Amino acid sequence: MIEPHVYQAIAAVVGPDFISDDPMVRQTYSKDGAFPGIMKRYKQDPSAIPDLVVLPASTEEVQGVVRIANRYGLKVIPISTGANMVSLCIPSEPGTISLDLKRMDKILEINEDTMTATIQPYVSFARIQAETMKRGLWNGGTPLAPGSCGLLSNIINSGTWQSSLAYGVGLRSIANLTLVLPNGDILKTGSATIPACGNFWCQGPGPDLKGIFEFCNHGGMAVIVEATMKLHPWAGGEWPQETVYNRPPLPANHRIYYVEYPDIEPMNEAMYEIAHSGIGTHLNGASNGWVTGMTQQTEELAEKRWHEGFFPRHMIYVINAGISSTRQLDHEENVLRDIVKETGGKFRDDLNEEMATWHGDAFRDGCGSRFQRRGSFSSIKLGCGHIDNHREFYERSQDIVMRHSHYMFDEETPWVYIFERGYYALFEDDTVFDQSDYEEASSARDMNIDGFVRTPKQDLLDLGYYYMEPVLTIYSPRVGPNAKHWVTQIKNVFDPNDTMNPGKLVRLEQ
Amino acid sequence: MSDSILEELAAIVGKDNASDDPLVLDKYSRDQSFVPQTRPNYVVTPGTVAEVQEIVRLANKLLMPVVPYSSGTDFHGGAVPSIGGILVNLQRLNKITYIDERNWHALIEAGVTYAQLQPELEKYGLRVAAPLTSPPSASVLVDYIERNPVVTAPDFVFGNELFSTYDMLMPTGELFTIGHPPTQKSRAMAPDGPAFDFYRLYMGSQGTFGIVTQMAIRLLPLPTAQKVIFIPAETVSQATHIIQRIERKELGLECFAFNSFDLAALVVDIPGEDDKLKKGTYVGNRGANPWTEEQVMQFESIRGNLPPWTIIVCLTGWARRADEKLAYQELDLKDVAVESGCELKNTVGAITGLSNIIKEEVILPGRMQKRFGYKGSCHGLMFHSSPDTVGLLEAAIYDVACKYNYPTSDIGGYLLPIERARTIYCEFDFHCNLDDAAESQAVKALYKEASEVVVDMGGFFDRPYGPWAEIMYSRSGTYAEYLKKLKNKSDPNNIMNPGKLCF
Amino acid sequence: MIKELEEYRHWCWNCFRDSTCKHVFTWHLKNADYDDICPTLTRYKFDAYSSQGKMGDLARAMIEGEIEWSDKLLEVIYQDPLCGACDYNCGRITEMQPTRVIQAMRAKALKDGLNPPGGFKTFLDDLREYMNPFRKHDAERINWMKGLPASLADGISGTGTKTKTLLYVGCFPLRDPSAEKMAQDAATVLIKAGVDVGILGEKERCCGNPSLRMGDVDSFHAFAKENIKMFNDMGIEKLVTICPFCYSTFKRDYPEVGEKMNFEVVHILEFTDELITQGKLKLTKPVNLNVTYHDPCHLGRISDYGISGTGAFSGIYEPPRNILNSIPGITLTEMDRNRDDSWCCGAGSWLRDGYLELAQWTADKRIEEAESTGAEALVTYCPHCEENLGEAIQRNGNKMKMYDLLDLVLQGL
Repeated sequence: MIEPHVYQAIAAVVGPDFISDDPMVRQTYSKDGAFPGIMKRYKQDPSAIPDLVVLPASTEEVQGVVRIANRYGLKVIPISTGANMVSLCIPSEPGTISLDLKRMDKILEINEDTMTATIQPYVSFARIQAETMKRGLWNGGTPLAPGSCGLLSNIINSGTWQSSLAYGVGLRSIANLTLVLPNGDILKTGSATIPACGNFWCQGPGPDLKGIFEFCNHGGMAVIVEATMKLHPWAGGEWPQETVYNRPPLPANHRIYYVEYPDIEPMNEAMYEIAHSGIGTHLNGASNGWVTGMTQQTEELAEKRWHEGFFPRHMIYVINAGISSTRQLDHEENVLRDIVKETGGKFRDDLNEEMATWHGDAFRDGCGSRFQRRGSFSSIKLGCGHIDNHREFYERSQDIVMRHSHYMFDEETPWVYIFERGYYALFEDDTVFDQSDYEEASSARDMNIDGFVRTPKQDLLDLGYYYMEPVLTIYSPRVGPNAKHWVTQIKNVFDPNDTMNPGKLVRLEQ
Repeated sequence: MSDSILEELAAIVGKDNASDDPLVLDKYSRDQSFVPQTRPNYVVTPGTVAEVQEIVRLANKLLMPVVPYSSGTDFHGGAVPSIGGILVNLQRLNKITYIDERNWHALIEAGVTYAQLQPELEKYGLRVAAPLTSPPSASVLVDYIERNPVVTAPDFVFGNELFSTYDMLMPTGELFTIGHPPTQKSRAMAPDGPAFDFYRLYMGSQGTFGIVTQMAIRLLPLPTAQKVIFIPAETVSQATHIIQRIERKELGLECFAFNSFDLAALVVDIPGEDDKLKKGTYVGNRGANPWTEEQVMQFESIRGNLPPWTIIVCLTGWARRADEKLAYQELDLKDVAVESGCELKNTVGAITGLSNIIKEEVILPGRMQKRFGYKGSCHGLMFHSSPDTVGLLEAAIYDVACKYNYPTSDIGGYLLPIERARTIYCEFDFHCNLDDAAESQAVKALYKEASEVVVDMGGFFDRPYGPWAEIMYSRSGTYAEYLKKLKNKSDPNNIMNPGKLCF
Repeated sequence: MIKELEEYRHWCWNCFRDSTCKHVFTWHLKNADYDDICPTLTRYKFDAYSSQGKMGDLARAMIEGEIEWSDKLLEVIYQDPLCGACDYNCGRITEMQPTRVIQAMRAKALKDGLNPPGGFKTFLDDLREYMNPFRKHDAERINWMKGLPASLADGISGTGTKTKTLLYVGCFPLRDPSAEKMAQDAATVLIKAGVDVGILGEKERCCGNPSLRMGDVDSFHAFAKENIKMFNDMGIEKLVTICPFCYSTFKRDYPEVGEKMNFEVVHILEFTDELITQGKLKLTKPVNLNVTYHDPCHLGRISDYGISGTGAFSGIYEPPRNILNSIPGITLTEMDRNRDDSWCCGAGSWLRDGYLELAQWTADKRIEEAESTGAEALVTYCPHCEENLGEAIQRNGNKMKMYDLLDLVLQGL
C-alpha cells in the first residue's frame, strides 16, 4: 500500500489523472508472456502486482517521481510496452511503482545529416520506420517482435534481427542516452553531454558510460528518457502498401532468396560464405517449424504444414539491397549464386509466394510473432559462437528435448543468426506453450531453466543472454573472478538504494 | 624514495626490467605534445600478465600511481605521467596468442604493434584495420581501446566494432574478461557483457580504470582487387558533401580526405628516414627531426599543385568476383560524381604512384608520421563533427589561427567519415618547433583556444587528451561526477593513471 | 456467439502483451502521428483500458477468481466502443478477438446481478422497457416516411410481403427528426434505381445490437430469434440494411445464434455500388467537393468475425469508395487510418449514452485527422458516426462539412 501523502506527492507531479492505485488498474501491469510473470499469476502472487501505476509525460515528471520513490524507499520499474521474455517489467516485491512511459512517445528529431533519430522511450519500431523510410533512412529492421513494441527498450536489451548481418545487433544502434537517475540527476552520454554539440556522436567523453545502461541493465539503474538512435541508408523508397491480404510487396531495390540445404553443415558453409563475402543486408537460417508458425495465414494451415514438413528442414533466406544501384543487386546475386552452387544449395523460388509475409516482416515486423497462435513463446537455449558451432548447439538442445516431455517448436534446427558480417552467430531454440495449461507451461519452464541455468555450468557455448540472477552468478566464475561484484559496484554508484527494478540483476544489501 | 620499492619491482619483473635511472625516466617523462613533462618514479617492463597483476597489487599497497604505457604513440600526452608513479611499459607483452583464419580473429597482447601483426596476418590473407594516423610501432590494442578511428571507419561493421573480448586488469589486480564469456572453443564472439557493455566503459579511459592486457580483435581480408580514386574539392564543405553522397551509397571500403598540406606531407621524400618511418620511430618523445630546406621546398612544390582538398576512395574486392565489384562500384561512383558535380581522377597534383602509396597506407599506415617533421612537432585537434558543421568548424579554427598570426596554409587537415558519414572525424593540425619557446607558447595558446571554440560550436573531443579534459568535462553536466564515482568504487586509492581525464 | 467468460480462458492467458491491440498494424502505418487505434487506451493511457488489460489481465483474473467486481472494473469494460481495432490486429496475429471477451465480461456482470455503470444503467432499463434504444414506441417507426415525397413513398411496398427484398430501416430514425433523412435518402436511392423494396413499418423490431452490447445476451437472442423467424416466414431473400450497427449484427452476430437464416444480408452501400455498376443509377450531375471518407467500424472490422487468416474480414471498404469515384466532381483524399485501420468515431457500443465525454473526445480526434487531409468535407455512412462526428465539427467550430454518402449520391443523380 502506498501511503496517502506519498500518493499525493506523486499526484502533484504527474497530475491526478495519471496516477492510480486502483486494484483493477494495477492488475494490468502484473503479467506478460514470460515464465516468471505467468507463474506468479498462477500463484496469485500479490508482490508481482505494482502498488502504483504512474504515467509521467516529461523528463521533469520522471525526475519528480523517482526522487519521491527514492526518498520513501519505493521501487520503480520503467515500462514501455512491457513485452519481453523474462518478465523484466513485472514487480518482484511490494512497494513497486510501474512507471508507464506511454506518454513519452515523441519522435523528437530525425536528423538526415547525421542519420540519427532522437526519440522518447515509448516510440515503437513501426512509428520510427514509418517516419524514417520516407526520408530515405531506416533503423535497420525489427527484431521479429511486433512493430508496436518499443524500439529503445528492445535495442537496449540487444534486440537482434536478420539484418544484424549488416547492421549489428540492436546495441550497435544507440548513439546517445539521456537518463534520469534515482536521485533525480540527469545523465547524458556521448555528444549529448555538451549542449552545443547535439546528439550526433555516440561515445565518451572519455570512458563511455552508455555501456552501463546497455545490454542487460534491465532498467536497473535509471530511467532512459531520451535516446538517439543510429539510422542507415534505406534503398526501399516509399514503403509499399499491402494490397493483397497477407501478401505484402517486397520494397523496391531489394531481392529475397530462399535456399534449401540437405543438412546443417552445407547450410553453415553457405551462411559463412555469404556473411564473409560482404553481400546482403539480411541472412538467416530457418526451419520448417519457425517458418510455418510465422508466415502461414492461419493456425490450421501452420499446424498442417509443420507436421507434414512442407518447408525445408534446413533453409536460409537472404535479402540483398541495391543501396547504390541495381548493379549492386546484380553483382550480389551473382555472388550468392556462386556460393549456393558451391555449397550444394537449391534455390526455392517456388516458396516466395508461401513466405510472402517476409517481404514485410523482414523490414517492418507485422506478422512475425504469429507463432504465438499456439500460445506463448520462450527461448530454452541461446548460444553464441561461430557458425561452425551450429551442430554442437543443435545436439545439446536435442539433449534438453530428450529430457523433457514438452516439445521444442523448432526441433528440426535452431533459428540461426549470423551477425556483423560473420564475426559471430547466435543460435536460438525456442518452444511455444499454452499459458493456460499449467502443466504444459511448467514443462516448458523446466526446459527453459535447464537450458539457461543448469547446462551453462558446463563449458559450452551457451549464453545467459539475459544475465539475470542466477545466471550472472553462474557466469561469474567463467569470466572470472567476479562479474557480479563489478556489476554490484556499479549499481551502488547509480542506485545505492536499489530503487530501480530490484531483484532483476543484482540485489543490493540494504 | 626507497630503493626497496625498486627491489620489490625487480623481484617481480626481473632486475633488467625495472629502472629508476634518470635517463630512462626522462625518456618517458614527455612526448611531443604540450602536456607538461613529468617523470615517473620507476619504469618497469613486465613480461607476463601475472607480473602486471603483482605490480598493480604492489602499487595499491604503496599507494603509488600506475601509468600504463605501450607505444606512447598517441602524441597527445596520453602516456605521460601526471604525477609520477610506476610506469608500466607493456611492450614485452607482445604475444600474438593465435590467429583464427576461419573466423577472422586474433588474440593479441597489449604490446603487439601493427608492424609486428600485419606481416603475420598477411600469411593468412588477412589484415588488421589501422588508423591512418598511427605509426607502425603503435599498439593495436591501445588504439582500439582508446577508440582511435581506423581507416575502415566508414564501414559500419568493419570500421567500428573492432574487437570481441578483452581482459581488463582491474585496480585490485583481478583479471576481468569483458564480453561474451569465452568458451573452450573461442573467445571471439561479441564484446557485450557480462550483464552490461562494460567494454564501452573502459574504452577511452586512458588506463584510469585498469590495464587491458589482451584483446580478441576482429580482422578483415586483404583486398584481392583494389582501385583508388581521387576526387578534388575546393572547400572542406564541398569535400564533406561529396563524402556524404558517396557514403550514403555505401561505396568503397576506405574513404577519407586530406587537405593539400597533409597530402603533400604524406608524399614528400624524406631520405634517410625510411627506416624510422617503417619502424614507426620517426616521431620521438621530443618530436621529429625538422625537414631540411630542400624537403620543405619539395613539399611546397607538391602542395602548390594540389587541390585544396582531395577525397580518396578505395574500391575494394575480396575473394569473390572482386573485379566485378570494382567495376559496378566505379560506375556507381561516376553517377555520384555527376550528381555532385565533381570529377574522378587517378591521381592529383600529377603525383606518380599515389594510388600505390594509398594502397600501402590503408594496410600498414606510416607516412602520416612525416607531417611531424614540417616543424618538428604536430598538434592535432582531433574531434568529431556532424557533417553539416565541418565547414563552420574549419572556418572557426582558421579565425583563431589568424588571431595568433598562424598561417592557415600551415594547418593540416584530415577528414574521416564514420559509419557512412553520420559523423566526420576531423583532425586539424598546428605545427611548431618545440625548441622555439615563443613559437611553442603561441601555438600552445592557439591550440587551447581553438579547442574551446570547436567545442562551443559543436565539435566533440571524445578522447579528452591534454587540455581537452578540462574543456570537455567542465561542459558535460553530471558526466564527470559519475565518472569519478565509478572510479572511486573500482579504484579507491586512485592509483590508475591519476590526473588524466577528470580524475 | 458470446460464450461464457470461462470459455475464453485460453485466450485470456495467452495474451503476450505485444501491444498490437493498441496500434495500427505495422505494415500499414504511414505516419507516426496516426498510430493509435484504441480510443480508450489513447484517452486514458493506463493499460487497463486496452484489450491487453481487459482480456489478458482482468478477464483472466476474474476467471481465476483473483479479482471480483468493482466499480472500476465495470467502468473499464463498459467504457469501450468495441470498435474491433483490437480484434483486427490481435486476430491477424493470434486469431484471438478481445471484444468477444469484453462482451462476455459484460454478460457476466449482468448475470451476476450487477448493473452497467454510468448512463448505461438507465439506457439498459429503458431499452428493456421500450425494446429500442431511443425510448420511442413502435408506432413511431414510420415517422420518417412522412418526410418522403408521395411519389416516392408510394414506391415502397408497405408490409414487404410481396417483395423478396426487405429494406430493414432500423431504430435510428427514432432518435430525432434529423436522423430521418438518412432513412429517406436510403429509400429514395433504391426506388430511383427501380428496386422493388418493402419495409416492415411498425412491425419492425430492433435488431438487438444495443442489448448485446450492454451484455443482455438473453434479450439479444430473443430479438434475433424473433427477427430471423419473421424474415424467414416472410420469404425474404435479401435483407438490405442501412445502419451499420444493424448490418454487423445481422451479418456477424445473428449466424451464431443458431437459427438458420434463409436470407442474404446486404448493406445498402454494397447494393448501391452494384446498382451503379449495372447502370440502374446514373450519376451525371457534378458534385464538386474534395472529400475524405470515414470507414464506420460496423461496416468494416465489426462486420465479420472471420478469422484473419482466411481473409474473411470482408469489410465494406471498396463499395463506398467506388460510389464516391462514380460521382462526378468528387475527389477523395484518404485519411491515414482507413479501412481496417480506421479510427472509431466514438459512438460504438452506444458510448454516447454511457460515457459521452469519451465518445466526444474520440470524435474530436477523428475530425483532427480528417482536417489534416486538407479535404473540405467528411463523408461517411452511419447514423451514429454522422451524429457523433457531425456534433464534433459543430462543437469545435470546424469548417469541414459532414455528408452522408447517399446524400451525395442523390445530389449526383
